[in-house]
Amino acid sequence: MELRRSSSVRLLCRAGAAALLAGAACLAGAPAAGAAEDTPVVALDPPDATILLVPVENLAGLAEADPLGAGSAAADGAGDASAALAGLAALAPPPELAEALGVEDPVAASLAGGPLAGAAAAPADASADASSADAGVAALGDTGILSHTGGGEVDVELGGTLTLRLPPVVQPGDLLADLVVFDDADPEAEPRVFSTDPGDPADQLTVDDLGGNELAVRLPADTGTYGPEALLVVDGLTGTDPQASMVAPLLYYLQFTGSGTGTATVEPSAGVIADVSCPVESEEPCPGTPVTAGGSFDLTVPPTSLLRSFGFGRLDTAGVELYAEDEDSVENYSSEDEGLLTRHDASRATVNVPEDISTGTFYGFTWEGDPLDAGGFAVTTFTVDVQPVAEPVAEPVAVNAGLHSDTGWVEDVREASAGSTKAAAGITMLVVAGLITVVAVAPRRRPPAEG
Amino acid sequence: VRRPRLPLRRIALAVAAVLALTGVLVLLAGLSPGRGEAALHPVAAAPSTPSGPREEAPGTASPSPVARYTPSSDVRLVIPSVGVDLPLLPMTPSGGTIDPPLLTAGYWIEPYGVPVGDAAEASNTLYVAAHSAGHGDDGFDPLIAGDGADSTLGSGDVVEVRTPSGTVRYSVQSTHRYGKDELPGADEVWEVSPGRLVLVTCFQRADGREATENLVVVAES
Repeated sequence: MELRRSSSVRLLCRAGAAALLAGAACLAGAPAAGAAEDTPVVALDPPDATILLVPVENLAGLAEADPLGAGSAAADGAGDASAALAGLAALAPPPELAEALGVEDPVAASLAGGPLAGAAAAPADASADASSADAGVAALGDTGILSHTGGGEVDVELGGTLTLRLPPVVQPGDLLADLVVFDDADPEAEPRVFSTDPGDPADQLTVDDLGGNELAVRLPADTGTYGPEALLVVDGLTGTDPQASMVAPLLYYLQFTGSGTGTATVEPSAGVIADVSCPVESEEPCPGTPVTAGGSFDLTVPPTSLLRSFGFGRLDTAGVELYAEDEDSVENYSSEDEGLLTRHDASRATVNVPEDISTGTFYGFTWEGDPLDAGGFAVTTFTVDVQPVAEPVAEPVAVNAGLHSDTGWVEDVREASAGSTKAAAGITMLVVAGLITVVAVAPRRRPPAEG
Repeated sequence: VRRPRLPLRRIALAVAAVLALTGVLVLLAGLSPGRGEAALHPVAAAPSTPSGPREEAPGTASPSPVARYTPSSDVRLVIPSVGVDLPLLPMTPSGGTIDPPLLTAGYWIEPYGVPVGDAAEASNTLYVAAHSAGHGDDGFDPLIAGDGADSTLGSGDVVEVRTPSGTVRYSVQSTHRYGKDELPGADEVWEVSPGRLVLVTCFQRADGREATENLVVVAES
């Protein structure tokens, strides 16, 4: 395994956010049952969920240190939660490291730049040109950028202790922790990995369960030539809810400031990642809900939804995002876009699909809460298949029987014949008068003389 | 002894003179131009078939002024912009041809739309036909522009159909000219469209030649 380091936090943020969305794409869901006759319905009723623990301290420091990264996301209008998610994604370990650590679950895979890492543009950087995001993804996949150096690391001491306060939705379970320490002097060198299950006893890492959902990670006193940056990976945590038993590995970036016995305490927040219908581990693609460009579909939250048990599933405050499946597209829509979302109440909202939206598959998700807040957050994915606007079927138009129209009125042609008749009569009268005159004036014939 | 001529000859000559004078007058009357008291009657263009009441119509039974006989009706068509105010009567075309019996009335064509007091009550397009003579103010003459080139009605002009139960005001949407043989096949004219009024007449000119086109005015309530 060849690992290199980079200080390009911005690229990491963008790439990581893309990876996070890709993870959502992996989890993309299916339409909910019971759709209404006219308006498609996507019910936020996931069968299960994955718990994602967020290294709040890393994110807070990262946002402060790199305003062009996570912090810029909010400025882009994606919202604080999306910005934090982007920042969270920026903390993703490279694929090689994730593989080496045995991180295989979908969420972790997505965080590690999973198979669909390039499928979606980062929500936190939707306005950025695609080449930047692609470059970031490429950097993750090809070079294995390891560190997010530039801010956000938790300061600890060699020989000290890191106390981990777990949120109540998770429990230690069959814990497996690894501490990856990098060689700052040689970015090409393989890191040293301390583990609760080490290959070499010299690399033993001890984690004590302090009770009260607190763990104490005893940091090594000496890492040799490695340091000062390190990555703590805590795996094997399980959810307290049977429907959310899977917990993605927790990652914390650390920075050794020296030797000592000091204790640093971190308190990650917990997020609920779920799909509307497919189990989290489902390998089958979840079918999308058919929707129509210019139409709408409803989001609903059934009273028994798993989201409710975590205190989420409120559509009167949740954000909604839609991203085109096309990896070459940056087409996306947000509930912050005017007119996209019509909220009805906590249990129902209507997504008004833009008329000019591209046809094809769109990955959508709702997000609630704040990853940087102790209250945690929830991301619920779904998929819609945008159909072209159906050509309206012209109803047959009833047509009356057509008629001719003889509605012109002209002088009677008989008038002409009447005139002719008069003329003829006049002529006749003249002829007769002439004959009478001739007869009247003609000399009478005398009878021949007698004898 | 020369016998005097018989009075019969004088009588004959007198009769001949009267005949000659009468003949001259009649001949002059027969040869004189002008409408005189000639009757007006609609042109029957093929394949026209005279409609039923034609024979009983006063307008064709004797010459003018009977042709100007104006029937009474409590249903009227009023077009204020061109001064049309016609009584409306029902008419069922015979042989597929609209051929109103009178020049002085409009006719709604049955069994299509009938005049209603409220546009919401309409169940079909209301067709009103009337003759045009190409001159004067009878029938739909006022709908024909003076130069015979177009209609005097334009978009937005109001056409009222007044009935005892109310008046429906229609607004002119368009005017069209159709060849006489084209009109029966012009589906856009014959679409069933409740609330629509279609006025039909001939594009009659004053020269007395038979019209070759129909004028159609489409209005919506």
